[in-house]
Amino acid sequence: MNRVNKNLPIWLAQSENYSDYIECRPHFLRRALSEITKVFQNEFLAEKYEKYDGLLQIIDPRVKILVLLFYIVFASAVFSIFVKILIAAIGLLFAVMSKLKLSDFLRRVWCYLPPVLFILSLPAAINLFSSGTPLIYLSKTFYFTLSGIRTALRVSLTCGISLSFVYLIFATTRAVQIEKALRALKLPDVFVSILSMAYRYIFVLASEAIKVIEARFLRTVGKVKSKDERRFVSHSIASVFLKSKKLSGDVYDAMCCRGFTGKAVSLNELKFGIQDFIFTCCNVIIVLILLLGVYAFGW
Amino acid sequence: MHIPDGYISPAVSVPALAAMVPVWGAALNKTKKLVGRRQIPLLALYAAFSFVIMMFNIPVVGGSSAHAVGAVFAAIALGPWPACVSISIALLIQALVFGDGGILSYGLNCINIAVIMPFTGYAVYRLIAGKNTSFSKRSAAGAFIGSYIGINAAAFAAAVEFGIQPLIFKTASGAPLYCPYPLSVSIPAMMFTHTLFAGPLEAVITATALALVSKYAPDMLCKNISAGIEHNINENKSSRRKIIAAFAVLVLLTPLGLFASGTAWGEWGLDELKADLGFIPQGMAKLSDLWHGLLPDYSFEGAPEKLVYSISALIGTALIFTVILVTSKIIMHIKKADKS
Repeated sequence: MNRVNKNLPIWLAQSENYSDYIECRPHFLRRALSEITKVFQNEFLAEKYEKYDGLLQIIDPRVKILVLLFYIVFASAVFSIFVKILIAAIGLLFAVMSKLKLSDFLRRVWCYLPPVLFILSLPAAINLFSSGTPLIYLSKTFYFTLSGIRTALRVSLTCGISLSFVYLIFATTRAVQIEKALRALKLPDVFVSILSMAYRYIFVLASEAIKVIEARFLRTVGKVKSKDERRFVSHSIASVFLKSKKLSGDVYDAMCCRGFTGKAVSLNELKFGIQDFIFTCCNVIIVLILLLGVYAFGW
Repeated sequence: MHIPDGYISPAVSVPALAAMVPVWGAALNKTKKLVGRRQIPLLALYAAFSFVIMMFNIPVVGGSSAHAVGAVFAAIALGPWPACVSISIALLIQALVFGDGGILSYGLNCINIAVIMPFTGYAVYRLIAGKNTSFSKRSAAGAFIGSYIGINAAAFAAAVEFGIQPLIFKTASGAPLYCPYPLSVSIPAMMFTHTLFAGPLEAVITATALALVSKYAPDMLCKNISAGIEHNINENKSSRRKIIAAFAVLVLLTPLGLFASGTAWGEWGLDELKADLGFIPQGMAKLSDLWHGLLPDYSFEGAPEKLVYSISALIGTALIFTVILVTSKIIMHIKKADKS
């Protein structure tokens, strides 16, 4: 050990202090990297869950999309907080029955945007904006009103419900199945084709972007001026644009070689089975119960 | 700027979605005329590009970072119509995969980010850059100012959409049902951040990125600019009519939501209907009688109202959960039987 130290320069033999190093790293590159990496994580999650034999994985994607979208519309149209909580619980139950990992579901759906929206809506719950029964006094003159807090809760719950049902669709259905369902639901063919191709090529362009950012990240030492950082981002955008333009030409040529005539063809058809009928009936009953509660019992 | 679900009434967001349909139709037709069968891969790649650039974090004052929208860059580089389609698709994938922007408010997000922002930015850009087919300093100035105005126009539209909610949709006691902030709060809040921070940032990024594209692929950008000019000259009246029709749909359908103001949607009691209409519709009166016939003890005379509410809520919740659990068991059983 001593013999090695004699041959090494002093600075190399010394233990490193990483604290200064961490402070001066350009964090925007890390953030950009983590943002883009999320794309791959999401895809991984979808692939992981859709292969399970859970409730929603078995259901025909057309039925599933229509039913779950209906819940989003219904939750937006109904004002009762109790009914909204019930619909959120239905979403949670669907997630459990579909064998999704609850921690993933809660983290993706309920841990970020709904609480943020609730907090952002809180100032409007003060009696300056919302008149009504005082709920929590901030001072002698200012207080949170009951109606204001209810509005904040409604906004937060509606957002969470929307996120949870969209997550249920995405996590339990393959991209190809969603594409087929959208076609079957009579969305224009061109639109669905562009959507499905765009989804696939996001991964290609995202990996290109990751390469650019990683290359810059590995070569960056010390603090970089904000101006240079912005120039780097602008140039990366231009670079991704040029690559996407070139790639679109290559993709079109490849499609033509494989017999593309301008129209997309879907090979296997979707079938409406007995389980889809039962699932639809189950949801009709649930909606009837909810309507009954709203009309008859003032939920 | 992505509007989440919950802040906007369905009475505004659903007509906005309907209004976007003819715009998408016009945009797809325009692109098809420009690029023919290349339309699908071209727009798909541009949509992927629009999605990816929205993930680039840019350093801003104070050590924080924000992301670029890139809508005006896309409008100048691709033309406003292809930009409209590709940004709309990127927004849809963002909403579905990341929950960034709501599903019901998708139409409004498209109006703001895929229509107002690229078209306003592109119009300002064309006004300043003129018919210059090369990317000159004047063009760079056009891109800078165009993107600044584009993002601020979109932010202003979003602020107005937020701000009108408490004016139109509120309970009988005056409490807002959706976004609680009026125009006097939403406009300053949105415009302060966008005029001072997001706007200049977007402008710098757009102008610098276009300068680089013009440096390494001058033909491509000039081709797009020429196509854009030609496209603008040849712009026929039918597409304008489609855009006007879309906004007319939006304007006409929005007031329908006013029926919802004051009372929860579909929760009109017979007394309220009588007060509003002057009479109770015969069918509803019959249904009401039928309801009382099925559950004669519904009135629960003598029982405290809160107790009835709590018991009904408990029974309702238990019923819903039982229905889901039983259905799930039956479906899983059918699936297993099919497999075996």
